[in-house]
Amino acid sequence: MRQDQDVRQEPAKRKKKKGGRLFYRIMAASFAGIVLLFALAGIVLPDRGYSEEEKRVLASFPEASWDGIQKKDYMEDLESYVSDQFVLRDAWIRFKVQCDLLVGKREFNGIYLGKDKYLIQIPGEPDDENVARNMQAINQFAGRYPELRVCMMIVPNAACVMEEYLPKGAPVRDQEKDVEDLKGQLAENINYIDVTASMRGHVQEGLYYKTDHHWTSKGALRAFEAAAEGLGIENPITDYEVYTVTNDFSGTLSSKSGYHKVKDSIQVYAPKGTEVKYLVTDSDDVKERPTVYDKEALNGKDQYQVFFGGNHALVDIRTTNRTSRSLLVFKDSYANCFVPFLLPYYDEIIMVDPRYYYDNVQMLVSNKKVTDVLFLYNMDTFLGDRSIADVLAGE
Amino acid sequence: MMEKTREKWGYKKWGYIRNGLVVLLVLFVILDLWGGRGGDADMETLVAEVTKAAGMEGGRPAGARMVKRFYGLNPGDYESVVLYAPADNMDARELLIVKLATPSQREEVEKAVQGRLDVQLDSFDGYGAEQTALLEAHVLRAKGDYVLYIVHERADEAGAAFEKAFR
Amino acid sequence: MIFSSIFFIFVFLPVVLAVYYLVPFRYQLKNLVLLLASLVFYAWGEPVYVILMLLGIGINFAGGLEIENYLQSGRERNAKVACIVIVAVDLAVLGFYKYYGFVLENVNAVLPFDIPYHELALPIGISFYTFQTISYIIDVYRQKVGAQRSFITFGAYVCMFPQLIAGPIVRYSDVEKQLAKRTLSVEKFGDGAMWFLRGLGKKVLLANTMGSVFDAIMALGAANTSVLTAWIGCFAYTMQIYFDFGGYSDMAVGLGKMLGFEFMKNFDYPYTAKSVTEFWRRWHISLSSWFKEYVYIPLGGNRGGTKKAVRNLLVVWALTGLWHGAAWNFIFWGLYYGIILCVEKYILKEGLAKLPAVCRHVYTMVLVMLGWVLFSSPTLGRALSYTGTMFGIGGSGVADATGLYFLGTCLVPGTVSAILCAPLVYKWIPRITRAKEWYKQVAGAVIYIGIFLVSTAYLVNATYNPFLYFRF
Repeated sequence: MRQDQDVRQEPAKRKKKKGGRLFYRIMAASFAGIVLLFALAGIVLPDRGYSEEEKRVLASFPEASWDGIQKKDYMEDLESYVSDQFVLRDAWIRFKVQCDLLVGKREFNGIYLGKDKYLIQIPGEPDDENVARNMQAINQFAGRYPELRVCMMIVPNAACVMEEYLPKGAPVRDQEKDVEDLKGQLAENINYIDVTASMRGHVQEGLYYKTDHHWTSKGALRAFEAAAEGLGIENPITDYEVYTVTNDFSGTLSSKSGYHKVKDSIQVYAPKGTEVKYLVTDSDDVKERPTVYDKEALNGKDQYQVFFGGNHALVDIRTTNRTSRSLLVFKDSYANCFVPFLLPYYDEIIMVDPRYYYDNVQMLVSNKKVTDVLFLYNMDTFLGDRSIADVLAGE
Repeated sequence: MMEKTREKWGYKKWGYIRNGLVVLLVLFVILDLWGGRGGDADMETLVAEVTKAAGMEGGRPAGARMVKRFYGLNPGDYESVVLYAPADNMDARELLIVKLATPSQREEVEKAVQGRLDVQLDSFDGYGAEQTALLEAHVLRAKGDYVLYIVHERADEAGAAFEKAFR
Repeated sequence: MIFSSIFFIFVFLPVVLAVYYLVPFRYQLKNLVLLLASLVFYAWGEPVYVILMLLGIGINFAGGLEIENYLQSGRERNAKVACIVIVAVDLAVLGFYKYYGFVLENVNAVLPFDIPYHELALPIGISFYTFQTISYIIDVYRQKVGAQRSFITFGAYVCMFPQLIAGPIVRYSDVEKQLAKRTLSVEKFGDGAMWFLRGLGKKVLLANTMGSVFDAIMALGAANTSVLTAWIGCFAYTMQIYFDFGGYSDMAVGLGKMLGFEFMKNFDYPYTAKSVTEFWRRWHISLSSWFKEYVYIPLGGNRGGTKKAVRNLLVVWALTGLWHGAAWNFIFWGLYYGIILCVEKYILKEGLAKLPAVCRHVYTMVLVMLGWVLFSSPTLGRALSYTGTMFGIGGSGVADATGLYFLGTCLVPGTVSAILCAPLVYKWIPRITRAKEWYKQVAGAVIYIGIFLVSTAYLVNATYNPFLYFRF
């Protein structure tokens, strides 16, 4: 007992130092160990070029230059390089997302994780002036061709149609209000096709991809059913043969958010009870082919491109129909899985993507003897578009 | 001995060193302030140097309509505009050089470039990984009355050539 | 370069530490390594302004010796003149690069014509290293310390990378002996690693998370912000800035230890303060003590009557605000605290101590949080409108779905943050890490390694890694 008392009387410092030595030694060893391990691994292992999970090219070792150093570009590039090539990068990102989920976070890089593992993109803030400019151009265009049937279908995004799937209370832009705004700015002779309500009714069927910002073919089908009347299609086909072309689709939202727990499947709908055939050409590949589907895309980085092989400035589909109706579609990528539903009803369908189309639209309308015009976009892209007005103005 | 030490580390000596360094400091600050105003260069040499550095010589510059389409800028508002547009819609490579008519235009040009960059990034999002990488590695520089925007594998060399052309 | 980045932790740090430990103490080699590494560290972020800093080091180094020599040969007046001139040069450089734009902006607002000016970039860390050199010069003049004879060691003192970019402001007198002699050991290294990881976790896991909540709430706009949302936003910022800055300071202390230095704490659980006066004894301690030592006391401190003391306090606080940034909201933030401190000191006095501890704590935290609104707002107007929404003016009601969403999102990180503001958890830590039982110590180490791994995961994915006290 007395010995203990003696020990206790000695300066507390000594006792403190005695305890914890193991702890500090482990800390020193493990900290140094981990840092050295990853540093050396980074040097030894080869650099990666493209990341499948992030769907982007990873930074490579930058070249040094006086200019680059002075402008700090070299330093930034070197830091990106080290970060991009960090050993087990994909695993680290998944780990991080997992930690976030555990803590209750439901938003990743501008994307909400909703019910049923749905990734839902947060719609962006539009530039109202730009939208007004586009609407004005559309109105003027319709005014120039009073004999054409002009329709506008701006499809609301998942954040609107699948509202109930969003994390509770998560703030999003009210796209229904956007729809009303657009209707208000539209000229009288343009028919606005509002599919929001009918799509809402079919939400459980999976109208949007869980991992991508596009709508599914099912979503396009439901929209088509709601839009047929507005487009002037009298007896739309209701029977389809459904083919699943892939079960392995991991879209843009997965890559951006780092959440890879679910995969989508892509369906293709072939209408039954019609003998219509068609030939397709586009501005990037003038060879005629009998299908709108691009099988090669299923092996590529973005399987959604199975529809038309992606976006082209101009796509021309000539069918064996004799309806004397010719449709011109101004579109974004949402139209790619919608237009296949329109094939049985027109002699010719021309798709124009204003972001890439630099030719004269007036000439296109007269040369192709267009009878119907459709503006088909998703709301988020439409509100951010900067090309429509310029294309319609032509020159 | 103390005298010697004092002589060796004489206060005067340190005073002179200190003053000399202050003079250098003032020079540095002056250079820093004035460095922003570069020399001058003319559009033709600039375009030639930049396209050479990027390996783009022989390309055809695009017309005023494209400048308006892509950037929303009216070429007539500026002293001179040169644009090399992407070859097709799978291409992201682009070069824009604007000679400003007045220095205050610089901000609107940079804003327009940012807008173009955003549109391009959006359009390649998800499937154009190489194009996205090129766009992110773009070079946007402003010097004197000129603004340079280039998206290219050799954007850095082009940027350096741009800076050099001003001497 | 910032500490919380993959590049710093996995490239810069191992290289520098390896060379530092291999090199012997003799011939000031370790200090030389430190100096060179710090110059690279600084040049990484300021490839051009590193020259400015080197000139500053040179001027103050020569100046220190100059002043000491004057003093030793009895030339008091010359010494005083030299001291004033050098401090003036230091302040002029700081003032010029930091405030030139601000001054001209305000002058232009008053004059009928505009003086054109070229926006200058603010060199990183200039507010920190300038205050360090000023403290050195004044201390040499006051003969509190001897002038440093070695340029290498002096340079190492001024631009030591652990505290170069974001403090703490280390006074020369505090590290003078350590610059000459310091010990390295495995335990010290481990201790440093612990502090570093603690700071890293605070910065990456808590501060950044709270920061993104704050940013998301700011993006809503006043009309969509309910009282609940506004308070959550304010709370988020309050947590963010503490864990950001405090975390960075912890990392600085940790790095110092790994290099053999013992720095003073810069934060002492500030959010446990029970009065604003106490808060400022616990927040950014090195800054407030610098101002006290080199501005408040020279001005007369609180001798000379209440009026003078109040004047001195307000001057010091306006300057403190100004130090944080070249904008009116910072100056008002400083004055805001200056006024509150005067009120506490001269009006409330002991009255405050009579209230129960909880009341005092709430009172302090409310004032501190409102202070942060002022500090974080880009304009005074925004500060006022945000404060308004916090009290129900001009917002979207008391509580709404958005508010609940943010409540849900930041429930866990917010609670963890709030708990970590108090010493409670930190008192347990030594019980684990210094326990006699070996398994407890191992468990402690495992926790810290866990923090390291999770932080690294967040860093790898970092496109968003702001540091609020960065541009100072």
